[in-house]
Amino acid sequence: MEIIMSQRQGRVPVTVFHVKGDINTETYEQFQAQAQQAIQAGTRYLALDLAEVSYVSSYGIRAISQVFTWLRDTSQGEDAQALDRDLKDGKWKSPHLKLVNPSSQVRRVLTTTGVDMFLEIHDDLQRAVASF
Amino acid sequence: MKEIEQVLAQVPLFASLPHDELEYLAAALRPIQVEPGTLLFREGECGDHFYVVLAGQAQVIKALGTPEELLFSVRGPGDFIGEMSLLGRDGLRTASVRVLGHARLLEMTRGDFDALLQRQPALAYEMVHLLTARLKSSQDNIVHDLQEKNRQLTQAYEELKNAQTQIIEKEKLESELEVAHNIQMSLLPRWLPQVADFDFGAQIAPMSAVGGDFYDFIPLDGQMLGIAIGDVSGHGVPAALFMALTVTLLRAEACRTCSPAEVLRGVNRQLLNLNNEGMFVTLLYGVLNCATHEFTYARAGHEPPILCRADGEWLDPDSDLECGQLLGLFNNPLLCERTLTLAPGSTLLLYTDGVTETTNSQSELFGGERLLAAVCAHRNSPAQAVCKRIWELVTAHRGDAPQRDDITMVCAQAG
Repeated sequence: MEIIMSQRQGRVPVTVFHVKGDINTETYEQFQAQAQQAIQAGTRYLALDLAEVSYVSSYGIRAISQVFTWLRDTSQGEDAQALDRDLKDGKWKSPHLKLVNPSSQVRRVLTTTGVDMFLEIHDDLQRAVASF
Repeated sequence: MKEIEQVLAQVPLFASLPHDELEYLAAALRPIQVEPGTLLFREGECGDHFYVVLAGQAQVIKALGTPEELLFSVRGPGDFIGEMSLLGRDGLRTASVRVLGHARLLEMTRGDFDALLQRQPALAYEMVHLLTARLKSSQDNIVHDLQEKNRQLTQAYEELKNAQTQIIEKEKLESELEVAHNIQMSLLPRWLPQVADFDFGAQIAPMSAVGGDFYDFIPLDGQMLGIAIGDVSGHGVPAALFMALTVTLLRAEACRTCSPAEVLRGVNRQLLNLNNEGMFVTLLYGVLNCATHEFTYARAGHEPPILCRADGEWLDPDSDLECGQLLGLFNNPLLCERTLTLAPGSTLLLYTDGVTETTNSQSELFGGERLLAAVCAHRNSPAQAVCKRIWELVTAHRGDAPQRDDITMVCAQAG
């Protein structure tokens, strides 16, 4: 797996991870480490471009969930009430982490694990960046 | 002949000999050419020749060809070789001699040597001087060699001591892991439920000594039986501890309510209170009503169940992908309940993603379709045999590739 990082400017500065290769048992630690590094360097809004990811295993899902919690922790209190209120109804989505262009296979995994219920999925990177 | 005489005059051993003796020796001794690498003689052989090096070099070697082989010295022009066996009573060679490069030697027989010493007794005295010098040099070499061997031995001893410490540590860790493995296995059901009209099977294969997968059968009131399967994020000891926590919480919550979604919400609340490590768990928990054959379950980010009916028709697992979030992430996870009816002859399989995500050496997944086909193909086998057969198929698919995740299955069949 390889991650190419770029910076985009929407309403807020957005870090984009262009991920190439699978996020699985062998690569999830690298994925988490690079995300953690970006967050420590100041990233608050992260878009994961999954166009070149053919599979995300359960370890990959957990890594994405872990990144979600790290980003949520950096803005603790900001939206905690809205999260508690709306998540149960499927209305709440993370304002900090969004997914772009997952394949149908990856989308199935995101749905099975319920990750799509708290992370927005976009088909277009520009629109994803603009949505932050 | 004159040339040999001049060379002999340069040999320290013969330096004191009168001119006519040198002339005699030059005529009596036989010059020989020796090819590179020639073994002139071997230690322990009976020796009857003595050599003077005119040109080239020769190695004096002890214990040649053994692990203790030692290069004793290198003799060059003007040196003599082979005197020890001619002086010793047993006449045996005390070392081997191998020639380096092209060499030119003068060969003297035992008879020539004895006759020379009789004619020139002073030569014996000269030889004693030279042998004393050689003996001293040999002693120095032996002492140096012993010191070096002692140093190597000390180093080897230290390395051995460190390796032994590491082995003891490793054995201790393995023993602790074995205890952890036994504790973890003791948390799993010891027996399969014995319920009229139903047959159950289960199989678990942790990736390492301790894993994060688990399953459970929880007897509830009346005809109700709780069935759970779960997968904690990560693996190893942290995952095993989190698994133990989840199993304990699940058993406690399952006794409070019959609603699987409520049970999972209760587990989630406790996990969030107790979990500071940011670990998650996927969990499918359902309640089987053994009287009505209805299985009502909630799925927290876990793979949906596979249901194959008696006639081989199966329920599309992808029809249940909505609504089911991981536990340990949110205060209020979105969870839904669904009910399946296990008509007589139906086979229900709950599994962790270690089954479908098993890859072979070409990174090809075992996948959901193979699993579904296997469940339906073996639906007429006993529940435990279904689990065993799927395990065999998954193992065969993996081939030489390593197991990368825990693998767990629970099977229920309605009679």
